[in-house]
Amino acid sequence: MKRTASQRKHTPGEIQVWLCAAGLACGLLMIAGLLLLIFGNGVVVFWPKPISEFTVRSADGSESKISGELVKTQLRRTAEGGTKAEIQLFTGNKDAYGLGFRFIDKEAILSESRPEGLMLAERMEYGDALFHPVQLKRKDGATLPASAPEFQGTLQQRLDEGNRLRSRLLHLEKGRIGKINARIKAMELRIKELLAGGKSGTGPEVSALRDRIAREQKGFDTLVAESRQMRARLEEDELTVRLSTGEERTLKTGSIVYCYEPNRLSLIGKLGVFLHHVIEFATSEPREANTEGGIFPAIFGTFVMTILLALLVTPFGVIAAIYLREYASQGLLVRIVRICVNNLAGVPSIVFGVFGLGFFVYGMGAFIDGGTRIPLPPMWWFPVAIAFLVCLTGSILLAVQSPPAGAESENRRGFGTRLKPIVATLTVFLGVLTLFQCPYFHGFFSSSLPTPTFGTGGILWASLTLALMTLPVVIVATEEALAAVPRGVREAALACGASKWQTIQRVVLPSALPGVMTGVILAMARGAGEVAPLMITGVVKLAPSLPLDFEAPFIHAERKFMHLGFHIYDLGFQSPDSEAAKPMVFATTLLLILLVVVLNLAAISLRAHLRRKYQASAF
Amino acid sequence: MPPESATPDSSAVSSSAPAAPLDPAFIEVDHFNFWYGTKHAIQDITMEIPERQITAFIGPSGCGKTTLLRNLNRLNDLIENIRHEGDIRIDGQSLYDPSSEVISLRKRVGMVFQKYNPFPKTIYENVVFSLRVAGRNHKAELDEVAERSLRGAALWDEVKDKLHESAYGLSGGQQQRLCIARAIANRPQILLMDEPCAALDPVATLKIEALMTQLKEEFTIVIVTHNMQQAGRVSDRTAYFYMGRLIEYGPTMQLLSNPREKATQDYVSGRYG
Repeated sequence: MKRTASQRKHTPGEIQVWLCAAGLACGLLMIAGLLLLIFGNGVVVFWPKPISEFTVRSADGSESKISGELVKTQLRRTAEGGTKAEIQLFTGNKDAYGLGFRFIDKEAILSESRPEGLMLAERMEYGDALFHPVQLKRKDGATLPASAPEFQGTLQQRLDEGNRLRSRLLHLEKGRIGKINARIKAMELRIKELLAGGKSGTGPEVSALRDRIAREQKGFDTLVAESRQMRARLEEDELTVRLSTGEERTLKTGSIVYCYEPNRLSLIGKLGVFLHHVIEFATSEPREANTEGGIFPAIFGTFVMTILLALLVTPFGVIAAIYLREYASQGLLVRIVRICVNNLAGVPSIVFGVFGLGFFVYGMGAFIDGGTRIPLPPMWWFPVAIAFLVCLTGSILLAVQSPPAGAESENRRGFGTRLKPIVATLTVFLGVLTLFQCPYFHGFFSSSLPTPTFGTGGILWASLTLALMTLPVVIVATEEALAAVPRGVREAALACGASKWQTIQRVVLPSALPGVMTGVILAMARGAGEVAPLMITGVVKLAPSLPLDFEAPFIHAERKFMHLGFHIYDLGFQSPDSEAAKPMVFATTLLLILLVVVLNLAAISLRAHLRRKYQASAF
Repeated sequence: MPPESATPDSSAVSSSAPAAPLDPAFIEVDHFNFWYGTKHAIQDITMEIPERQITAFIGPSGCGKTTLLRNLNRLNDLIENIRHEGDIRIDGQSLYDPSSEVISLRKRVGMVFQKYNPFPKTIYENVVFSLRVAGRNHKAELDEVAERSLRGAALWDEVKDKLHESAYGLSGGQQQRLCIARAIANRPQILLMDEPCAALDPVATLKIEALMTQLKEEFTIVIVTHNMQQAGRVSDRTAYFYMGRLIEYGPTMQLLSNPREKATQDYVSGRYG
């Protein structure tokens, strides 16, 4: 049977539309699934779950009790080829049981109950404890049984006291003792320098310093004694508890951070516990190899690194793009440069990490610390330095030289214009050689060597490495934005008597700013989520201090830092108890995504603001 | 005061006889040839443009009228692979003389474009742009220039209360008048207009045309237009171009009503093509 075009069932192209829609739907579904998984698991971590007490018959027929939080039910293959249902239970009490998790065959469970008096305590060490409280014992020997009406209040009061004491202890040890330590170290370095400079060990300067060290040492000892006393006070009160297995143990109230009775909580009570967990997670420092406590240093480190990255990558990328698009004559060379830039975006990030380690950390960092290791002999260095000065003079002359009068200066490129990139490259090369091979520079931190200051991974080097990695993104986006600025606006500026640079600076760049911001946003998003290059250029599992604080000079660019992405890797694959760390992995992932979203939203609103200000007329 | 320029009497403008020019050969185009790559866009054109009059360039698309206009301030220099022969002189001084500089040339020759193109800045900054790039930043001077130029472009009364708002908030006709204000801010001698009304509606067009007849008191105006009626309404002299050649050049009334050349006759009467 013949069909004419008008009798066709489908319009041509209808199926293609469906295929496109299906492709988009697949992509969206995968992204939505990933986000839902992270969001679901990440939020549930903080919600208090009920704790069940199981009566279990063991292999020899005896009955025992065990309590814990149900994690999951799964099927296990048995040796005979069948399957058996089993449950995974979070039992806590790692100090008593040896493990925090246990698998129990469903068949072996005789009964399950949810006793209201069961208590969950988050501790400084050994993770959570699950128990029935028995009595509270003060240091004077007075005891308070758990059945007493004032037991809850007294226990809470003890815990608050302990938390206050701990925060004071932290302030004392990290702040005041740390400061004295830094001062003593600085004075010891000074003595070392003086001795190296030929001063006698018994001279007036050295002995004055030694006296001051002795005085500081005395203050140090007093503070250490104070901290020891505070530690002892944390050990004073004891809580006697009975585990579900029947065993009785004592816990120091000073080691408990937070405790609640999960089975007795109302909805509002659960919400309170949830909020407490969220706040603790976002604001406090990690405990127990990062599997407990918060991740504030990692949030802060990621934030500072991303901001630093944006500040470093923007000027370089924009300047490079302006030259490529506006000044360079569009020939073969520029095409090759553009291809190289685009390919740079495809280089594996770990390669950038290795480059950062070699060039920034071991090259520039070591140079800042102690000058060059193998300097050029002066007889070679001086000619290089003179060549550099000649090139510099040449570039300055080329730069200030007015365009060749009369000739179609902006179009016909004279000899000087062709020379410019070559002279600029030569100048930079010789300048770097002159600086890095200078035999008269011995570094800013040579006295503290062999301990490196900048010659080891740090937030500055990590940010620089990421800036290098994300440079192509910014260059490409800026070039696109510059190309999109309407020709009419440029011509109008030139017709007003503006020079080429004035046109770019006053008219073209403002119009292109929203596009440039898009590039920076993409660079930030990529940089913030990157882990591999950071692992070798400055990220650590646990950083003792933040890269920004109230101690002069406030910005510590040489410090190592923590990063959410690395934290995820560390928790998930490097932690001693990966089961216990799993919830933290989800929560950290969720937070990293949130941080990237927040940073991007800030940049997008900035871009929208710029767009309103500089929007090209719609026509 | 209502802006008188808003309701121009066009018939009065077109019928007035051209006033005697101060210098009949203010701009001299002397055997000028111009190539885009291998395309010979302007072929041996010689003409004299008088001072303080409006000279219109008409002709079909691609006839070279815009190319010649853009050579008067050397805006064509931006294009790759161009070449010229012959000379253009303004007030006796050659544009291509090795001692003349393109930036100072463009300060003497303002330009208004077909598509209004204000900068992404405030109205005020748009007007004073040419002073800013010349390094003149005294507030009193800038204020004075802004007001004078906007009055000169018959825009002052409409924008005086929003000088520091974005220029993109204005209507199309207002934006084009803003571009005129910008072009005359630096007091150039010559004002080039490349189809200044092509993107505007009839009312805005009438405003711009009335403005041009005012501006010729002060500036030498060269206008490119596709619209013969417009050439008739505003210009004193008209040049007809075809295929890169100057076919006929003379007083507007004569050229439009009684052309010497058959080709001009065909074009102005609509038989072209």
